[in-house]
Amino acid sequence: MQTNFSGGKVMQPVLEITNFKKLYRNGRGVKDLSLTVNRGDIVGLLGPNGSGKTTTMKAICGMTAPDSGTIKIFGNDVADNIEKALENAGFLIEAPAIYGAATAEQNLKMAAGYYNIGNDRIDKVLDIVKLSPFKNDRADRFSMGMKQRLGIALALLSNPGFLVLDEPFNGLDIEGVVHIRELILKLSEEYGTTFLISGHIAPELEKICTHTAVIHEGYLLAYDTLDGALKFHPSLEDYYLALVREAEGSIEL
Amino acid sequence: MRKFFACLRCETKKLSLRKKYTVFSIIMAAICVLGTLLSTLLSKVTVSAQLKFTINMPMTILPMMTQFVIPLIAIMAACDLFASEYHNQTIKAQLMRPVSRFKIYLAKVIAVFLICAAIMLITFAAAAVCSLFSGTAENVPYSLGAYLLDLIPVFILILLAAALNQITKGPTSAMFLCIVVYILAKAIGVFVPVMDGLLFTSYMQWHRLWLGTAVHIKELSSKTLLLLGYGVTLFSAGYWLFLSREY
Repeated sequence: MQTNFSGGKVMQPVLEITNFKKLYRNGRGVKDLSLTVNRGDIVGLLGPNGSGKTTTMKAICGMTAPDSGTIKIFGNDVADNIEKALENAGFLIEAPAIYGAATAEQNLKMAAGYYNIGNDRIDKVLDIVKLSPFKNDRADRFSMGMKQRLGIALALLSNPGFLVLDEPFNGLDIEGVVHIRELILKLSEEYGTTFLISGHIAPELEKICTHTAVIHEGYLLAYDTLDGALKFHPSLEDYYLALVREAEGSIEL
Repeated sequence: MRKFFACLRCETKKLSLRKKYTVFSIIMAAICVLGTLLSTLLSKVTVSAQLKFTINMPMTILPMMTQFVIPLIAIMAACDLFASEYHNQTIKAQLMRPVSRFKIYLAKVIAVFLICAAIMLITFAAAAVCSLFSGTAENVPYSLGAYLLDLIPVFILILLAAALNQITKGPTSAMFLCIVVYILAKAIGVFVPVMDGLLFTSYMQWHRLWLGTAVHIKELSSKTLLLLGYGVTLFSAGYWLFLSREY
């Protein structure tokens, strides 16, 4: 793993995506994407539906194989050594992968076996996502928001250094959104946890992100710090719309 | 190996959470008890000594187990761990963990085998206890050997069901395809005798080759190699399809 210095700050790459390409039969997918996420960054991945956000996230966790290109997490190639690459990473991609017949605690215990994690950590993550009172309830009886909280608990379980969250605010109530937002900021500040977060709600991402990446039609349109993105635009939403409209205009031409 | 066992524990836990497998075990044990009660009752009402009913319950119930019940359970469990998980996307819970696809596939196959073996052994235990009351307890060690040997072709059937699950789109179609292929293989064995010896479904009562009166080494080795060939081919095909699947 290479460590770079930029402006006196240590830049330790956590995620390195190089010329990633993944096309589906319908022509959709990711055409060319290169992205480096450094330690402590909170990267908001923005893009319209079908732009390739989830495909990218699936490829990061090895769920889908790239047509070409490489993806490395903490310097470990996902294609070559998935066990090592995912050791220090947590994921919430699309709907939370939860076994409905199992309780919240059983779901976490099943996942804990991969990391040598004890019951105290399970209790802690249940407490973090405020599901402790419901830990013995079957997951299929949970509301959408509770399932989302359990999905976040599963991602946090191993206390990973890198978290990939695909639309983490889905289904959460206002209090839940604020709570998860504060949790992301706390993990970043206290532990230097790195985040790649996708979402459609630009104002929400603006509150937590240090960087933004805009993806459109399978290409990375822009990757900048939040300050850089807001330099000529009043909000992240305006920045995003300006980029997408410009890209759609150039496609029409 | 720790990650493989974590995966295996996870898969067996998922199957154990489904009540239908417990229900199957209870039904099979109940059939053993009812069969013994019926045979005892019949032997008491029969006057003639020649018509005395003494049932060796473990061996009486074994053909039903290996031909129908266990194949059905193997197919159901394989569909629960593969097609159902693809359908409701819970397969992602494993794929997002630091464990290789090979370990996931192997753990799923072995978990299905373990549930089949557990139901086989529970049925055997119930039948063995019943045989103590029907006076056929001396056959219990032989029966145990037969039950254990018959688990070998069950494993091959599980590999077939796992491979078929990779080419279907949902749990219903996977279940249907597995059952149709199993019935078709059985039917071919019956109606095309020349094919009978080549199909692994003809060896579901594997113990007959090993525990018969005369053991032919040449036949045993050729049929063992045949099953091994099926096992290697089906595992490789299933794993390759699992590996190349998009989630």
